[in-house]
Amino acid sequence: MIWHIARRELLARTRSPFAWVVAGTWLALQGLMFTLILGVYLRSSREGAEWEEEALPLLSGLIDPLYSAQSLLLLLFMPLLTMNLLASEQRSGTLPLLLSSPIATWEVILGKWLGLTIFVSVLVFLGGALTPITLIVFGSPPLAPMAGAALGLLLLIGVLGALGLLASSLSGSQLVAAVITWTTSMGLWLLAVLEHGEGPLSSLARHGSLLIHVRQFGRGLIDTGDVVWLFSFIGVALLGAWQRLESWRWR
Amino acid sequence: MIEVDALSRRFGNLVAVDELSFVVESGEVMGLLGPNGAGKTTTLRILCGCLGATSGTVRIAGHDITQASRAARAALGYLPEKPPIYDEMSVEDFVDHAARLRGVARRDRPTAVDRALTLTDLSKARGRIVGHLSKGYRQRVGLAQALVHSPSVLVLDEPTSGLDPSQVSSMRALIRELRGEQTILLSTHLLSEATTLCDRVTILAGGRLVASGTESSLREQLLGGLALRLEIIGDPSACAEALAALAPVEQATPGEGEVLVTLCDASNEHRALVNAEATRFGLVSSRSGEGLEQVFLRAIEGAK
Repeated sequence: MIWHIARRELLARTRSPFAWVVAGTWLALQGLMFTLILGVYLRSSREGAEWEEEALPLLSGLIDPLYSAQSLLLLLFMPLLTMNLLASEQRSGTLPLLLSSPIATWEVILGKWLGLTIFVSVLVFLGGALTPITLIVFGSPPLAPMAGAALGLLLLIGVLGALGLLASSLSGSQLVAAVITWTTSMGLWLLAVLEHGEGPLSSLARHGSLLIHVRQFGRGLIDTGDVVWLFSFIGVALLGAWQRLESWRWR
Repeated sequence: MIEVDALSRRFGNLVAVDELSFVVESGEVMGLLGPNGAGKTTTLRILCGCLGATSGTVRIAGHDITQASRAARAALGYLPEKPPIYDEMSVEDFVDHAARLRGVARRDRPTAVDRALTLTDLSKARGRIVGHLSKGYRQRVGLAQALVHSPSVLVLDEPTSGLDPSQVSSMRALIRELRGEQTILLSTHLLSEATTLCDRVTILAGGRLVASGTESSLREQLLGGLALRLEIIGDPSACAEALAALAPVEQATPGEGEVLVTLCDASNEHRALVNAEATRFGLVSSRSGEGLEQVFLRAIEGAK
């Protein structure tokens, strides 16, 4: 049943003009960022060669900046794709179909999250496929860090999808849901600026910042603690959305 | 079969449904009749598992909606007032989607979808996108999703609301076709709908049950004596005044070319007496019985 709901969610995305407008803008920005970062990398490499300096490593010169750019695009665009996950069911009156069917509400939540995660992953990895293809064709990139970056992006999509689903369950307004997702994810991201130093705020930043838990993936470092933190975040957000959907029966 | 026992639902201080109890027997069509805000939709939403009850129990085909929620929901089909349909899907895809949600096995799905589309006369529109359909067709699609798993209980919330007269007529014909096959509970604020479609009517007002029964038994319960509608050529006011003076007449109300009379009982002598008196005012016809409308209004007034 989870897969069936995910399939419908996926189908709804592919038939939504708004989703395609968002996806198109996203891909265009992704391409622009790739071009800019590649340009900077090539210029630095040329200048380095002129001065007979050691070549700029692919990892820190290209893969990590591209990973960071992709992460920022996800932060920017995910709220627009998640804002109607449950809010649209409420608005269009289709919620009774789900609630009166012999399925559990957690299946609805997991199905919707899975459908969105697949849609965004396909979008990001199809659009982002240009990077590894270019690197493999024109050089010999380190594959392990690239796989790490891919895993990091996948987990970030999962986290933002779960957060968006929770926000969508909190408000019937799509705009409010998008603002909640955007401010929460940005807040958790920017919490990292407080990481240096002492005191409870720094400690909070080190433990609670989304950026701190995803940035290592772009450098090819997969920390079990980060993976557990990200999965826990997804679990808690989905649990919240599930509870919220259950509570709709009592409103 | 639907069994509702002492069902209550509060929204803060507002009591939407208050100690409501009724039973809809297998194969019966029961109408839930009431003005806006009577608690009809709230009751139906609780019955379908979309809303929790503050207290009381609901059993659908023998399954408690809280204790055995999945089994209860599997046994029912629900058409809310606004059909729960996905605009971007085709009619066939949507009904197939509903069949999956309702747990129809993969091998049975094509037959179940075909049957639902045939029943709702949507076979020719199966490839059309739901969002492009007229309101009447969308209502049919809504009904098809409620029927696709052949539920033993069908709950319809104002199924003809917002339809044009021809669409109302075809929707009613469709519900009549289903009579006997399924236990049907439908809500309406249209008296004519309750009269023409339902075996029994339960009248709600302020979340409470004020009367329940067949049309004739309701009339008996709420009006007591017999009501006559006398069509006359003469002055209705003068006629009403003369009739009101007769001993068995409890009430005589003049109308346009007619007088509505309530008798203390339904005896033939009293009826003949009234007809004889009305003949002096040019009696054209004498029909017994107030419509359900009067019964309904009286029930609502009583509840206030």
